[in-house]
Amino acid sequence: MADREVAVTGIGFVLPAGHSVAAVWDHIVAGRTAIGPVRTIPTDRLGCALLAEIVDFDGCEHFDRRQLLNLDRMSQFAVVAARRAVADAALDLAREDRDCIPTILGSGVGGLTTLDASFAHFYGPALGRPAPMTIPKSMLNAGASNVSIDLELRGESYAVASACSSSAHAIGHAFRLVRSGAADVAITGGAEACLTVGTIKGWESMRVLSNDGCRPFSADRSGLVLGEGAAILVLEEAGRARARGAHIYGLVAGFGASADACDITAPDAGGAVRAMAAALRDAGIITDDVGYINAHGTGTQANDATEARAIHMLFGEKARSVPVSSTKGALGHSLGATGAVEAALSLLALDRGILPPTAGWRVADPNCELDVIHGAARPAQPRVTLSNSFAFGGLNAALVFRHAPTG
Amino acid sequence: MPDHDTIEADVIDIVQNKCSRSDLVVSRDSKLLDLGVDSLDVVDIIFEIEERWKVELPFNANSAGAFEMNTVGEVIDRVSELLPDG
Repeated sequence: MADREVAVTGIGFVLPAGHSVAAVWDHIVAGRTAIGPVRTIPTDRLGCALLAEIVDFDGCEHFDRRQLLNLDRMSQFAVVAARRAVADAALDLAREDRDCIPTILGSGVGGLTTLDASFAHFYGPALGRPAPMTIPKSMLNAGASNVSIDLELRGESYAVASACSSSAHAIGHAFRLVRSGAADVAITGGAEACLTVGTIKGWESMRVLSNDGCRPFSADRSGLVLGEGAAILVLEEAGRARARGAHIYGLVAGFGASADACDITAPDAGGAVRAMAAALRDAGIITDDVGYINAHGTGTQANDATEARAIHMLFGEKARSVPVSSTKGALGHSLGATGAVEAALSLLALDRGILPPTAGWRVADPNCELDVIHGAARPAQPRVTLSNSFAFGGLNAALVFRHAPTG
Repeated sequence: MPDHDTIEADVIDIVQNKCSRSDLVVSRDSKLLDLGVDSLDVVDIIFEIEERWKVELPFNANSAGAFEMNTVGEVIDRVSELLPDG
């Protein structure tokens, strides 16, 4: 079967910046940040002062008490975002062959809130025992499984784990299924709820957290800020999406991935180049066509300088003129969810004709000679956008999206 | 060690809390199916009894007939049997 076009017809968010596509987009475009002082967890043992937390999410509004027993915060985010994506796509699942719809989600660390609380209870002074649902709530595939259960989707389903690239890899796999004809519709994306004291202490020990904000590509950047959330996409064979009159945010045009195979934490420009190049090759698109890059842009010195170098290596002279931004300045770093969040924002840039700014950016960095969008959003109508995800472990993923002609 | 009446009150209390329908009054004769209590809830009920009384009940979900309980009363009886000196 010849390759088919793959449309994105639904987006669902659960994010610190909001709960609807419109609210999140308005927040991002306004250049505001959802990063703020820690509010949802005890701070007495934390050196970390800043997080991008979701403070207005109440599981009881979405699930009954029975369901909540089985759902870690990560799964709650995943299921709610998936419901929102399906509603956004106006997809009537009752009319679909649910045996053939895959559910492929990324998560970096699984149901960590459950695991952290269970172990604290067990090892701590209470000498308690982990609750009976500790294992199924904390497993890495809990999000994928619970979305498939909630939406009664019985196609192939699994979690993809590649730390901060997890959900970009997940989207890449789902994209290949729809493009190849193995599925007509797929639910994909990612979720993460990793803001526990124990986890944050681990990040503190790595000395990569910023306590004065996330400022990707800014010369005075001081590290990343952890976040949480979920983004789910509905992928659909473009012909049938058009036939049913669905709104198409954009087309997934290509996916590329690579491994650095050198260092477990240090980023490698070569690996990033190979992922971006593979994605563009997969899409049949040349660098000249790329009108916006949603960078991985974590706000660490090492990542941003390496990513800038990689963009220069691949784009050559054009590296100075292709607009780039990182939305982590607004949303923090939601690890396994971030690839899907940024894929969705890259699609919205195509759909709305606006390139989001890099919240937090202040000073140009000679090591990041890029056209970093900062301050205000930039009106533009890119035909192609590129979304980068680079993970600890040296696992890189890049997704290419193309504007969908109307009619 | 809790006596049978205490266990009965405890199990009913736990089931009532787990029951997603607050309008149902749980008694010995309540059918688990009607209450929406499944095998996982039974595991959870036993866990809570263990936590309340700091005991370990030798309940194995893999045992033959482990979940062959139809009413709240049968759960109470099973928990009572499992209690040391119960």
